[in-house]
Amino acid sequence: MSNLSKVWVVVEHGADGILSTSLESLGLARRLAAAGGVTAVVVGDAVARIAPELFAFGADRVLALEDARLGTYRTGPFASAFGALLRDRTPDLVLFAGSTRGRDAAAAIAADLGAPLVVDASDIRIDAEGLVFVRPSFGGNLFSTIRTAGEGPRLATIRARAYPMPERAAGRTGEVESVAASIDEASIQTEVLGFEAQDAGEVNLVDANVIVSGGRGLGKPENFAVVRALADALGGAVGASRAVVDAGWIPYLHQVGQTGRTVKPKLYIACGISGAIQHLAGMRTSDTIVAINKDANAPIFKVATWGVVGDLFDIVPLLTKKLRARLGK
Amino acid sequence: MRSIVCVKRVPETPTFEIVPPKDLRFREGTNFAMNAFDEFAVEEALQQKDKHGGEVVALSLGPPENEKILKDCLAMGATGAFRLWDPAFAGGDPFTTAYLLSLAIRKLGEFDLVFCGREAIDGQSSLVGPLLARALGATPITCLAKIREIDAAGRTIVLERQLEGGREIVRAKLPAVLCCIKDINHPRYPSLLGIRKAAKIEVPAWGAAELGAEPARCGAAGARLRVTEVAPPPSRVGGEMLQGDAEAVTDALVERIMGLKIL
Repeated sequence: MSNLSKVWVVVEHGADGILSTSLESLGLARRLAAAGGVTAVVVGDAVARIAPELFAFGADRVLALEDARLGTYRTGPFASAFGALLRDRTPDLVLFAGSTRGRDAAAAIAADLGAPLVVDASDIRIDAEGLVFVRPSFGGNLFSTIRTAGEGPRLATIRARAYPMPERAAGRTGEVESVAASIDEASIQTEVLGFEAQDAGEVNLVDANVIVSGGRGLGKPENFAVVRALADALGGAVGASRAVVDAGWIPYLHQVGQTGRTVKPKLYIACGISGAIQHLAGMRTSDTIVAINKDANAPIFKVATWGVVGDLFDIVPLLTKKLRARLGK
Repeated sequence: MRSIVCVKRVPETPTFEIVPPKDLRFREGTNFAMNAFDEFAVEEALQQKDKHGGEVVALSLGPPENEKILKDCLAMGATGAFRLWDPAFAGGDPFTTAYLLSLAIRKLGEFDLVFCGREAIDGQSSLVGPLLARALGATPITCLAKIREIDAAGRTIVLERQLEGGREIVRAKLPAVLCCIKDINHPRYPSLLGIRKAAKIEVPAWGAAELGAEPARCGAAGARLRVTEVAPPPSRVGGEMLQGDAEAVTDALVERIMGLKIL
């Protein structure tokens, strides 16, 4: 099968800019689409601000779906408006970010349109018989190759950092089209009453380039300071094993693993984490893994790029100090 | 209040061998149990029952082995349980599962809330809850972190959703399908009395005929996703153990980390 004529990327953006997964998705869309076939869909009123960036990262067209009722993402009105647009324009493939919002939106659209949806696609390619998706399951312990049945658009959510960031081509331009959203009032089932921020900078595991995680080996909750200091030196996020979250040493938001977050940072540093299979499930696809643990037989060393057997209280503070010096902090 | 809770039986650890091209054989001794996230769903349904009264009906799609996790729900305090199974249901996907659950829930009649786990730890699609919500015309709520209040008469619920970076506070219309995260509660253990009671409650099994399921929407025939091949993850290379005292290993680590050129 030849490249697809229409590939859409539903762009997620906020106060701090465009989600990197959306830009990575544009790179993927570029590879799957025929010339001129990549459309970035922007919901809300940010289109004038972010369209130039979307063109620079590979979009041929930007479709702006506008309506005041779409201001804060809600499943109902989004699904109503975007579903109507999909039925009208019939793209071949629609890519959503694998974020909470992207997964929520993709599932509702798949249900409404009867369209196949592959969640967390780690690879999408085209062969003689059509589109082929690959996705991990069982906490990254199994990769399934999937083909979809039926007609209509194919939907996928894209895992953060699964695809390279495309080259930014400044000056690349394209066409912007604004579409007035058509929203069925009956679709509005929720009202957002507020948002209570949590220490986001420190926690944002899914977007972090670097994650420094702590486990039982820290001994007591106060010792997370050692992990925080290294994370701070590297501009990274703080992660944790299930054991210490269940013990109440650190909030659930930090948990990496089967019942926490699945992460794929460029660098993952595990301090005092033995590496239970449930923890490995959440971090084994990280680009580089450093493990520091006093037990030479800890399973974490089986997935570590570089391992250090030793006392983390000797090693981590010294590592922090030396990295700070090298980074001029 | 009438709540439904949907539970899945999963292997607790991924201890399987791959049987090419696309099957798994679980090693002997692999423990199968209720999906960890579903335990939070059961607990939350029971806490709301404790507060508002009413009933909690547990549903699970699967062969006779699934009766065990439905008995677990009953032992925890669920008031009824049904198992959905038919040879025609084999080989399905999240879309066929949501379809069959929606038929069972409609058959049970009026309801206020459906509780699901955030995802199953085996398939990890996180799709059944939201698909089920749309199939029922109920409000889909993913990543439920807390229920603040339920106004059964006004047909609304106020709740907190866990998003990246914070909690979103939402008022939603009932009925709703709530997909629970781990942080929401601490699941109770079944009491001895609960276990004894559960042993006496019959768990009916509903097949395609009882549910009025269209054959073309069940199991392998209805699946939109067809797994053609499974493979183990790419094995990690490297595995270099750094030797020496704290000075030496930290020097080596600094060189290697700086060499990644990501900072």
